[in-house]
Amino acid sequence: MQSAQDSLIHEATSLFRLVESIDIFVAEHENLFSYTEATQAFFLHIHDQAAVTRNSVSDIIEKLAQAPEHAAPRYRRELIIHKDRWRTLHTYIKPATDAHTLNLPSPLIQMATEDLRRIPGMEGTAVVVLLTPELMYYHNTPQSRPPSQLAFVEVPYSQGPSFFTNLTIYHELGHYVYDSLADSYNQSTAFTALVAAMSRAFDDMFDESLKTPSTRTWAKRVLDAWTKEVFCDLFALRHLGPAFSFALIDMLSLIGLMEEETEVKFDAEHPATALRLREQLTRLRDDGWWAEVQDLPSEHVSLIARVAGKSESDYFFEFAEKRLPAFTEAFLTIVPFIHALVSDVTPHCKSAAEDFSRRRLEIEDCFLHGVVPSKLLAEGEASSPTQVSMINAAYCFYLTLLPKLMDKLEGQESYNLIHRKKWIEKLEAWTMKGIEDHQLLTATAATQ
Amino acid sequence: MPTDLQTRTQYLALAEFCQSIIWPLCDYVEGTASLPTATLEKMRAALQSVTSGDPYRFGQRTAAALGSYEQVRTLEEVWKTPEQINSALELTVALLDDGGGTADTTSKAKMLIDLFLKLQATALWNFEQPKRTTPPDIWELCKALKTA
Repeated sequence: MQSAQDSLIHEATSLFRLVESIDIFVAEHENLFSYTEATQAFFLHIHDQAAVTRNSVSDIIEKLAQAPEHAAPRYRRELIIHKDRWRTLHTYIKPATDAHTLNLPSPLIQMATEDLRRIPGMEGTAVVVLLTPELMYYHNTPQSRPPSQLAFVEVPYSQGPSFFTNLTIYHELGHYVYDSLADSYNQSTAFTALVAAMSRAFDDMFDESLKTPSTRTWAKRVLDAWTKEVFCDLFALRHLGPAFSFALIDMLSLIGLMEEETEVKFDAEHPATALRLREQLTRLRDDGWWAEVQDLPSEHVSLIARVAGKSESDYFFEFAEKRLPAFTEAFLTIVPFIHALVSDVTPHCKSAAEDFSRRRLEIEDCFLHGVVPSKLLAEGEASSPTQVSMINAAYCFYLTLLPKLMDKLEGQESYNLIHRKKWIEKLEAWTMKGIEDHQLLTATAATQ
Repeated sequence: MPTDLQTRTQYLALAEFCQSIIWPLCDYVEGTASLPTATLEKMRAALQSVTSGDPYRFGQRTAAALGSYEQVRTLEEVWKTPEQINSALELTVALLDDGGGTADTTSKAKMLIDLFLKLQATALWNFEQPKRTTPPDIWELCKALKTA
């Protein structure tokens, strides 16, 4: 029978080999593909962690050799924790190596990075994309303590290079922003007001009769999760305008979450779609976007208006087959403070709708003629349409004018899904090219 | 990140927190280090936040141990009554008050190590087992909301 020490040495060697193989796997991919700077920084972190673990594990075995037999369990726990850290990290490596620049909507990632950097305190932030096997977008916080300026976003691998659905990454980045605001030593007045509103709502909902710490924690987490979700929606909306709502609807429809019977239902993680769209509509109105898109002959627009118009009294939160109306009532008192925080964090987004109003038709005209909207870009930034205008004009075109473009082309039928798919992809490519050219122009102007 | 993985990492963070307490206390018991007062202070704060009933703070990240639902639930699973959580806190406070160096302090440190070894074992087990976290006490919740 193996002694405790022999067994531990065996386990340590297995971990050592695992770490070594991950380290090599990452290095091989770095040689084969091109990655964004953010992903490269993450890989550097992996190499560092690998070196740290290899040293720690060797250290454990060295100490073990000098320690009495009864100390073995203590070292075993240390080893288990190292292994579990790498088990977690292991799940990040493949999605990160898959996300090389050919598999990503790079101009969108670049734009999102620049938008994040406009927020005070986040000037050095970079976005690491992970391509996930799940058909869902996630914000991700690796437990291996990566450099804090790296924001991790999981994108479904099937959506990697596409454009429209990937606009929802802005929602996920909202999670990063919210967490960063919470971590900040110098929290803004708007953030502390939101926290105070949450505490008030919770205290009003429960008196001292709710005693068990875990139950109190759970109840708070529900309010917190809903708050974050609405914050993330509004954060994305401020940066992307109605294109975000359209993309969200498309994504939720794709995964079957836009059913009429679930529109008013809250779950422990998400507020009801009706409330989410209602707050988005409020924001679109306040920011001047709604007036620009409300008459679009699109089902997305009528859907937003219909679902957002659902009565608050229809909202319900059900948990373990019990309806808990106090939660939704409490949450509604918090919502205005979320709007205030989003406005506070994103003052640079205030006038985006004005540019769209002025430039939309000419951008749409480019698409109608199969031309990249880069032709509208001019050296002086002020006379160029913004990236957000290009995105929104593209989405509006996608929702309403695609058949018009296809009708002009011989042999293309708008009800033929293969033809339609081809022209959607072209539209996405034109939009991305326009954004990329805009970024080049801006970068050139900045260096002059 | 899918919810189950997010949940599991909370258990790992708890296990790491326990480790950060167990090791320095072991070193103290073995006479190779002084009493880890900074670690004990951190532990006292974490346990106090649980006994006060509000380990979860709005507007603060729950990366710290004993802040998330999964972590608090694990603690309640291991130390089944509020008295047990209180006794862990009392031991911590007593150790800090003693300041170390006596036989009594060593025996208290050993008791605390045992408590945290049990907590860590459960945290690691929960990390290992991809099961759903036990839901909260819906009866207590409804009673507090007067909707039962």
